[in-house]
Amino acid sequence: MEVVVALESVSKFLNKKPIVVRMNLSIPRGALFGLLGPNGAGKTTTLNLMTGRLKPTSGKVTVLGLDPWKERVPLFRKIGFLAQNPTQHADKSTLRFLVYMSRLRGYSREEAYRLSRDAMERLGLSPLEQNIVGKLSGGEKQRLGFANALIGDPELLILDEPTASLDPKGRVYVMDLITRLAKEQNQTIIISSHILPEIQRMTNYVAIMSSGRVLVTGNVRDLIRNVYDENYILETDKPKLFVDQLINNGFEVTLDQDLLKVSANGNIRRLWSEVIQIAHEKNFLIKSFHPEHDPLESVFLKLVSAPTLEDAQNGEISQDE
Amino acid sequence: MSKFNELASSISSKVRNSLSIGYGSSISTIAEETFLSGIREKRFYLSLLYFTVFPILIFLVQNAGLIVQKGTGIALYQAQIQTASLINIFYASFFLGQVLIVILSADAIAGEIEQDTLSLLRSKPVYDSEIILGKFIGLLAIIFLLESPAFLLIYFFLLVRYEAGSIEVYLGTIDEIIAVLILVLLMQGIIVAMSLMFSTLFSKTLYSILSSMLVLFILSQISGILSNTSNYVSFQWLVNATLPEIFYNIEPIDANLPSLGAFILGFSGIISGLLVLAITILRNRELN
Repeated sequence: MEVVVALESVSKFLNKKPIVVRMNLSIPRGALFGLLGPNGAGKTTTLNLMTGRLKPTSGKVTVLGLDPWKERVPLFRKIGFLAQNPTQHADKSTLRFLVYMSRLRGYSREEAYRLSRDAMERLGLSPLEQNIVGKLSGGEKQRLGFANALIGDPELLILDEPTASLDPKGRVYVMDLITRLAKEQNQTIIISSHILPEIQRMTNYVAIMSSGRVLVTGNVRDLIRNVYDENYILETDKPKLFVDQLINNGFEVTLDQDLLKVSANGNIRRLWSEVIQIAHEKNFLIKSFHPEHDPLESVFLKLVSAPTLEDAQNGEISQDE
Repeated sequence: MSKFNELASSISSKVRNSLSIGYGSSISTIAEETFLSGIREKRFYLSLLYFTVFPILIFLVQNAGLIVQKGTGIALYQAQIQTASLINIFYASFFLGQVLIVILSADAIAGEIEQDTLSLLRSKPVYDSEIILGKFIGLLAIIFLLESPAFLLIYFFLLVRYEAGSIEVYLGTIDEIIAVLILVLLMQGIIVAMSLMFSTLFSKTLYSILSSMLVLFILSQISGILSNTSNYVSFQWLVNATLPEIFYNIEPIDANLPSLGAFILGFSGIISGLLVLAITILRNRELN
């Protein structure tokens, strides 16, 4: 599988503080890759390293075979980038802003107008063509930033928190657009977010980050294959009777608004077989039966709460490395 | 020898790469954008007013002076003193012209950093040198536009006097008039390049303005000391570098001084040096 982004033991210190620590990451071509982590995990810094906005303190970053810090110009011929809270020229009209940005990609004036109008149409910004950028709402500005990143059909799209500052409708719109782009144009897309359901909805590969480290990376399906939750939520037609039966069979159960929370106690096989058997014998109807947490959420919570966070700050890693 | 070959091959490969990806195409785009944005700002119109009104006033004062100087003896001497005093007041005021050029140029990069729009430029396939050169050309075009009324006035004034065979014209030919106008623009190009360099060095426009002004002041002092004049504590050097200087004193074209061509080459060299410095600073600037 061709790798489009490779980080090899990359570290980045800002003001002597470790932001990214010995990171190794490979992103295959065609992937819809999610960089997931809580705020302050180092996601934006990682994307800034990938786009040559920052120089790595140590290690090697390669994007589409190029060094982003040294070969920023050839790289940006192939990639589109949407920064977190993108800034635009506040005094220009939206169309003029996009035309200027397109011309910086080397397009002629006529091509720049055509491409800008196309991008605005794709993002539903056509009615705002003559609006002044500084007067757009947060969501409109975000969509304009998105349109700017899409101009020229880059083969790699890097999006830092693309749904931030969007209203729910805008979020759905952008998420659909991202999945459509990946499907129709086979673009490689890297998305950072701290919102797990969004990453889960949009991406097929994921890297979970915390405190500047990649805790786990891989195909979403592989990551959740062997992940079981400790608690399961059961919805039934006779909740109180079902609770009694489960307690009699040695399960730990709590009842909350007609929903049963059943603990697996580490034996998931027993939970599944006995709960189904009890329902069958007592003629209880099971309306739904699912883990309390989403599988990826379980992975995320387990990894992020693991005690790896303070390593870097406790002096294990020095800037000389 | 092999190291030399490696270096030559590396340079040639870089040149080939630059040409293949269309180096330079963004310079005109950035210059155009800098120019169009610049001429929409209030400070441009204030500067235009200043740069147009003062040359015309000086023009009028000088011509009035020439008429007054038709007297003889003490009357002529007094008339000359009065005219000279009046002209000096106007020239001293032209220091503001330098300040305006600095103010127009100082936020070229620092302003982009302050508004976080530099990251937009750097997320496009644009070389740092293209950004700096584009900004420089755009700013120089603004300054040329600001001074064009005065340039035209001077050109036609000198041309008419030259054609009339006036002895007050120090310039020998029309080519020299044009060359002096280029020289003046280059001198102001130095101020623009310096402001641009400080603008790249600092993230704040105010620091960039203050640094440029400080350097201009120091240069004026050095210039005053070197030329052994008593007025080095004034802004004479700055005044001399401004547009109206060529109105009544084109002494640098004197045979004892380096040729006009040497001046132009020297000024171009200083501008190139400042721009290379600005590009190097920008190239190594991280955006966080």
